[in-house]
Order: sequence, then C-alpha cells, then structure tokens
Amino acid sequence: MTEFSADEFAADFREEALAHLQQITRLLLDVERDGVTPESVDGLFRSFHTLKGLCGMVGLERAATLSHEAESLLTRVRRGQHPLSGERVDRLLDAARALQDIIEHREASVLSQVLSQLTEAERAGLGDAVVSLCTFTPTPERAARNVNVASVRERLGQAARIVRAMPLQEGGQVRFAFLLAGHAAPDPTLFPELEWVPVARSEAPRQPTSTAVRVDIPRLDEVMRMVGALMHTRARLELINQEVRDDRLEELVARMSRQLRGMREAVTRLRLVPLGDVLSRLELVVRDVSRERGVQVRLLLEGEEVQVDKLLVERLADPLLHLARNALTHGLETTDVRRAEGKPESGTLSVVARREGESLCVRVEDDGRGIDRQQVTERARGLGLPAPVTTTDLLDLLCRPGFSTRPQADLGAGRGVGLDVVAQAIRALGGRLSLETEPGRMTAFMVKVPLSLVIVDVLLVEVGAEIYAVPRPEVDRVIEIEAVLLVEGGTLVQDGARARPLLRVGDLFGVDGGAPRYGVVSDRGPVLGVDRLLGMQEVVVQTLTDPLVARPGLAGTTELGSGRLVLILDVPALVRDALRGAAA
Amino acid sequence: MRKMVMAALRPLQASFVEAGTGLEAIEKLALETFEAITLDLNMPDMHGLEVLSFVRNHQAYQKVPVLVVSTRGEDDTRTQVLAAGATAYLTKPFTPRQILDALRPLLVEAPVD
Repeated sequence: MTEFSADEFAADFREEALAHLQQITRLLLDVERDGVTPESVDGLFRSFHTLKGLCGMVGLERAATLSHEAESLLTRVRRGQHPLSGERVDRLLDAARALQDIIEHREASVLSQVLSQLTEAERAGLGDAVVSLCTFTPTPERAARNVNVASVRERLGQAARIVRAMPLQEGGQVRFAFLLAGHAAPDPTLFPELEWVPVARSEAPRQPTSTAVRVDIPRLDEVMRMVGALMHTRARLELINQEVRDDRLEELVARMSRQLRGMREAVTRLRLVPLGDVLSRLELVVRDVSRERGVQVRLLLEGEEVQVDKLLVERLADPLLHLARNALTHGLETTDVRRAEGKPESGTLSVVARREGESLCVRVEDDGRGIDRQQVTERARGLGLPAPVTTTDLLDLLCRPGFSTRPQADLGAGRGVGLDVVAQAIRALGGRLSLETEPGRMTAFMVKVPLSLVIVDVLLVEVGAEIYAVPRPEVDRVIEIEAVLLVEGGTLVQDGARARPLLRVGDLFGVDGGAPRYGVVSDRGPVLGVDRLLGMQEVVVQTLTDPLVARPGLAGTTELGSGRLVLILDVPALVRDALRGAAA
Repeated sequence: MRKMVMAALRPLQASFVEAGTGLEAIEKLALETFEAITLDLNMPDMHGLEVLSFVRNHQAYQKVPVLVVSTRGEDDTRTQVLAAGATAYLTKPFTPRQILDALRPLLVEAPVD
C-alpha cells in the first residue's frame, strides 16, 4: 500500500509543470527569433510530453488533451510533415498560456490548501479509501432554499466520510471545502450545488533521481527559525559563561558562534535564485503587448545571472512586468510615428539588473517619446495639484492612485493598476523607485531594493491613533492591565505574582494614548503598555538608514497592506534606554 | 450558552444571528453584515481560533470586532486569542452584566485602520 501524500504531490506537480511551461515559452521565443533547430523541437516535444503525463496524473483532463495536441503537432514537425511556422509557434504559445491558466487555476490551490491543513492522523486515516474533494459556495438564494453549509455537510456525511470540512481563504468570496473518503466517490449529480475538484493518488512514478532537490521556501524558513532559536540558546550560554567564567565553556561558545554564523549564511544562500527567472517572463509580455499595440520592439536583457533571494524575485516580478508593459503602451511610439520622427523603426526596451553593494538595481528603459510634462501638468491642475518642477515631482504625480493621463485604460498598462501599485510594491520591499526621462528620447524607471529581505512576524499594537509593531521573538506573553501601581520613579503593573515596570509606548514616542489596557510582556523585565492589540502579521523590515530618522529603539519600519507605514520597535534598546533613564 | 449570551445582550437592542458551528458562523458572515461577533472557542467542528484567524485574514471581515468567550482561563489561551486578533476576551463563567460591558465598547469604537 502506498501512503497518501498528495499534498506534497500537488505542490510538486505545480512547481514542475510551471517549470516546463517556462521552458516551453523560452524555446518558442528562441525559435521565433533565431529560427528552428532540431534541438528546440526536441526540447519542446519533451516538455509537452512530460506535461501531458503530469496533468493526466492529477486529473486535469483538459490540460492533458491540450498537451497531447501540442505534442502531436510537434511529432508531425519532427517527421518533416510540416514546418514549425510562425502560425504554429503562435498556436503552441496559446496552448502554453492555456495550460498555465489551468494549472494555476484555483482548483489546484483548493487541493493544496485543504491538504496542507490535514493533521497526521487525518492523513493516515485516508488509507486506501477513494478520496474526493468538493466545494460549496453559500449564496442568499441557496440559504433561502435551506441549502447551506450545515445541510450540505449532513447530506455529504451520508454519502461518504467527511475527513475535513473547512472554509477556504480566497479573495472576495467565502467557499467551503469538503474532503471525503469512502469506497467510491459520491455521485456528483446528487449534489448539483457542489463543485468537484479532481484528486489523484500519489502512486505517481517518481522522476529519475538527480542531484537537485526542490525545497519549499517555508521549509527553509523553518530551518532559519531554528538557527535563530539556536542563536538565542547561544546567547544564554554566554550569559552563564560570564557568571561561571570557564575557559573551556568560553571556547565552545566562541566556536558555536562561528558555526552558527556559517550556518545562517549557508541557509541564506540556499534561497538564492538567478534573476533570469523573472526576466525571461518579460519576453512573453513584451511579445504580446508589442503585437497588440503595433509597435516593434527589441528587448535587451542584462543581469540574468544576478543571484537574488527567491522571495525577492517573486515580489519583483509583477512590478517589473508592469514597468515593461508601461514602456510599451505609454513610452514606445508606433512604427509610423517613429519613422516620421526619424527614429529607428524598432524601439528598444532594455532591462538591466545589477548588484550595487547590498542593493539590487533594475533599470527599465525605453527609447520612446518620454513623459509629456505638459500633459502631466494639465492633469495635475485638473486635480488641483501643484505642477511638477523636478523629475521627482513628476514621479510622485505619476504614482498617485488614479492619476492617468490616458483618456481610457487600454489592455496593457492602465488596467486600473498603475504606477502607484508598482511604487507601493517597491516600497514594501524597502526599496525606491526613481525616474529619468527626456522628451522625445527616453524614459527610464529605476528600481532599487535591498538584496536581503528581512521578514519577521510582528505583533501589531495600537497606541492612540498610531500603530506599532513588536517583533514576535520579543513577545513572551500579552496581559490585560487591570490596575497600575505608582511608585517613585515609575509605574508598576501586576503580572501574575510579580510586579513589573510599565513602559508606556505612547510616552516613548510622544503619542497621547491614555491609560494602557494591554501589556506586552517580554522576557526583558518591563511591560510595554499599549491601547489595543491588533494581531500578528508577517512583515518585511525596512531598516532606517537615514541618520536623520534612525534612532535607538526603532528596529525599522514596515508598510502594512493598507499602505500605512508602521514603526517596528527595538525592544531591547527601548528597555535599555528606559532603565538608564530611570537610573539617572 | 448561545441563548444565554443573546439574552444577556438584549439590552443592546441589536438583532442577532446565531450559528451552531464554526462553518455556519463563517457562512452567516458571508451572507450578512455584522457589527460585532461573539465567538465561543469551544465549537463542535472547528477550533474558535481557526474561525478567528479566518475572519482576521479575510479582507471583508478584518475590521469586525470579535469578542471571544471561553472557559479556558489560562494565560496562554488569552495571549493566543488576543494575538490572533480578538478585540476582547472574556472568561466563563461571566455575568450578563460583564458580557454586556465587554461588548458595548466594541460597537461604538471606530474600526481599526
């Protein structure tokens, strides 16, 4: 009996299928640019063939059929029955896009969401049973007919064993997923209100062994967290050593520090991938948009080999794609216009990435019409905003939500998400967006982001109208403050049997917060008093490098999803300062 | 328990919708708009914390105040609940007066940014 491990399988499937699609796209674009070679046809054939098998295994029938058709087309090309013409390349690219849609379709994500939350026991309980998965979307109409999550659950429960019923975390709507096990899958016609998601068993043949393994980022994060925990342990050992003063212990602690640093660096390096993964995605976008808009464009890519954190690559993809689309829709002129202006008919879009110290710089430049200052000024006036003086003003205006000089949104850029979204995404990465433009000649957007993304879990707290973030490792417990005790030189708060000094976060930052209702207890003695607790969140830390802003007690800033900037507290420094102040 | 809570909250002169399980609660949330939620950690199908984290992770319900009630009075439960985004926490047993006092401020407070 094979153990059911479809969760890993689902994740592997997606990862691998998308890698093949990326390969297919790259080969097709090569063919289009440099002509057909037997190797490229073979490569395409192999990838489509593998995709067919993969999709078949997870029950994505339509995707399997599509891959099969592509494979047949390539077989005929291989046999010399017809050439790989431009039209056929288009058909294959369309197929690749359709496949991508299907694979990224929510069904796959429903499966992985449900499977990822199964407990060990639930998973083991699946045994040899036939597993099926369906979803139910509640609507007022259904509720009026008494078709609701409770009634659906009851009826499903009669047809099979419900292993797990759970709400799905999706954009706007609420859906429920039911994972069922039984001797046979329930008859879908008996449940017209449900959508069924294909589930495959994991008896799938394994890929031939290679020296590379795919590892999910969360697993690397887990390792990183453990390294962090080890460092904490080391720090405590060192404290003990300061008390007992033992040479052997001291040497071991020093050695352990070096080893831990090495380990942290090694884990950090594991997360690095070449930037080429994102840049190659640009090729497809450029090709599509330039066709749509009737512009001719040459794409120059540089810096594909630069190694960057996987997460950074993922988060940079959308902003860069957007900037490239912008360049093609707003920047580059059509062939006729370029000819009339005496420019080369084909425009150039260059995307150049390089490392600059601890930052990654990407420059997206087009040799198009430049940004029309006049037009921006008029639009600014229309909105009651001051006219731009410097290029920075210009960029600020362009990055305002809803600011567009285009009369209507078109397909490429300007689908309601504009530069504001790009700028916000870059800021969230702790980076900066800047602009250079010359009328009639060029526009360049420069993205500069720190190479090392520092991501931490924080507890968000509220004081007055301000929100602060306390790094999770500093939070030992949270208490409700019922009464405080005023003593000479400060305030004490009751924490179980102990009284601890209270530090009002409001006082530290000059924010009027009233009497704190909650206390964040760290293992550093004092309790941080706040008005409200807003919850845990994972945020990207932006360190404060500007000496005018940086101050002890602040570990950095972060931007919340709402765009709100929040200060991250450096608890050890705050506590140190406060104790020193009290002593003085 | 639900009947008791609703009886205790009657002075608020609000209308109540009750749900017997976590899934039902989330369904109700999807179909109607609410000014506040009281949530018992002890439910037949889901843990109250799961419901709470679902609510907090969902854009549409992020700002709805949630009062969590539970028999578990241990400190770590309280920490977990508050860290998971509960607006307030009340330990059973409580008097009608206590739950009323706990919920009333949640209804007038402006939603969090």
